[in-house]
Amino acid sequence: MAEYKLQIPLSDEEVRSLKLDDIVYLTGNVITLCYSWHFRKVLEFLYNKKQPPMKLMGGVIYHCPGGFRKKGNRYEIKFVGSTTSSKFNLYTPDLIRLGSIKAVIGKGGMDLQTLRAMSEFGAVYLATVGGCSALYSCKVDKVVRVYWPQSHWANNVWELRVYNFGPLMVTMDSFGNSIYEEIMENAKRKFNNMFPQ
Amino acid sequence: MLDEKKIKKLLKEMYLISLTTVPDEVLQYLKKIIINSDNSRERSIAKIMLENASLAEKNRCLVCQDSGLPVFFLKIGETNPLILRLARLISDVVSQVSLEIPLRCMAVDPITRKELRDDNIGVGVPILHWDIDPKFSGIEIISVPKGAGSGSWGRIKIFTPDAKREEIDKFIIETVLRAGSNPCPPVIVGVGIGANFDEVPKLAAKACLRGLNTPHPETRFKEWEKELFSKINQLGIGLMGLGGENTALAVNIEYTYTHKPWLPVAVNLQCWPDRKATLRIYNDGSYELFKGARLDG
Repeated sequence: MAEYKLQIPLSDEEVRSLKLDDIVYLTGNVITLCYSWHFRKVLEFLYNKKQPPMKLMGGVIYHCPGGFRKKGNRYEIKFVGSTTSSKFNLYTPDLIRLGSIKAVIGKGGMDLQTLRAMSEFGAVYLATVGGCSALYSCKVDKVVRVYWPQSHWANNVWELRVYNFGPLMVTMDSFGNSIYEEIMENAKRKFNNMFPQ
Repeated sequence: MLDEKKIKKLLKEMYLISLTTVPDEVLQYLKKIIINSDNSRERSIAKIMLENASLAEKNRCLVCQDSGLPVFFLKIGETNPLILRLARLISDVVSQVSLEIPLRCMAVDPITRKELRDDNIGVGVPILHWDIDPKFSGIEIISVPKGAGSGSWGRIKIFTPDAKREEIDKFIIETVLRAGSNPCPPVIVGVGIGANFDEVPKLAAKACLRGLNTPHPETRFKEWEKELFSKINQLGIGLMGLGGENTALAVNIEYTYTHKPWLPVAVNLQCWPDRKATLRIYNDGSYELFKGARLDG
């Protein structure tokens, strides 16, 4: 188990060197996508071979429905935290394939299709511990930009500057290994032994 | 008798406590893991959870960014003029806190998915569960914000009365299995047995509310809780679904008598922070305000 302090954008080499259980701290800009329509909107650009307004290559997506307060014509961050990543299983493989993102920050992991895309194109899943907003909020510096502002701030896509953001645990690596798959396969086996058909 | 202004202040404090603290028994549970577990990943996660809980309580900030749907359990002892105004006072307080922090607005129309307002108030929200207890000499309000992480995974099934114990166990344990890492384990597993379709989920919610180390007073259910607790932990899902022997914080069963032709069973999952806070206002004007909930009173 190793610890890394990495800068965003991430390189293929950096991502390929990460192993399960490694701990990562990130510095740089992350993009928060936390609703299905956020993903569909970004993918619409990519499917039409157009560049979305945010820089994705080498970038990091954060499944974060955060809290923000407007101060004049700027926003300050009140809190961040991870929502359940599996909600975005459908969209993430294409985001990795077409957007060249290098990492996803969330909680609870993602599915086999996402794991395959991570393996094929070089990306990792970085898990936060769920229910730990206070801890992770300390590592967020400021709002860099708002994309597609909505009538309520809770529905916006944000670009956030983070500094030593972590601890983030590598729980899905870029070689087809997922701690979640291993644990759940084991759990299903135990369950089937408890309740044979 | 406390005046309305004072009661509102106490209600606001209670709601804030439920959003910014983790009950002591959960903290104890995490400390035990750090000391006793031989799984280094599990120990690391437990340390992060503990650090977050400490930071949130010290700085009065949110334990989790999902501040949940505002849900309150109310117990009324005797006829009290406050009863008529409590619903409005609670709504006022949820609105105030939602705008001040600010909280994300979690209450939306189920079809359009649009918020009515900015402040977590909507049709039927906050959710209030009222209970009359003639033995209680006052009013008790417990704030239990319910997030989507764990809230999305509850289940209900109406079994036939000849259902075997094994079938029911399988349903309960499968509920935890299919949730996997999503509800932020370790989870409190609340089981409701009996009643009918509308009441049995409420029994499951009340079971969650009991928290840790509160075995059922009847031996047959106490034993059943222990067995389920052991079996669920044998699945090895662990903290945040990353493996280990600690998948359940507790398994609690609540039951009532039921109708002859059916056997309803509901399972409710509560995520690891188990956020809740209690305000008790006694008829003599004294009050208690604390994080967590207690069975006494």
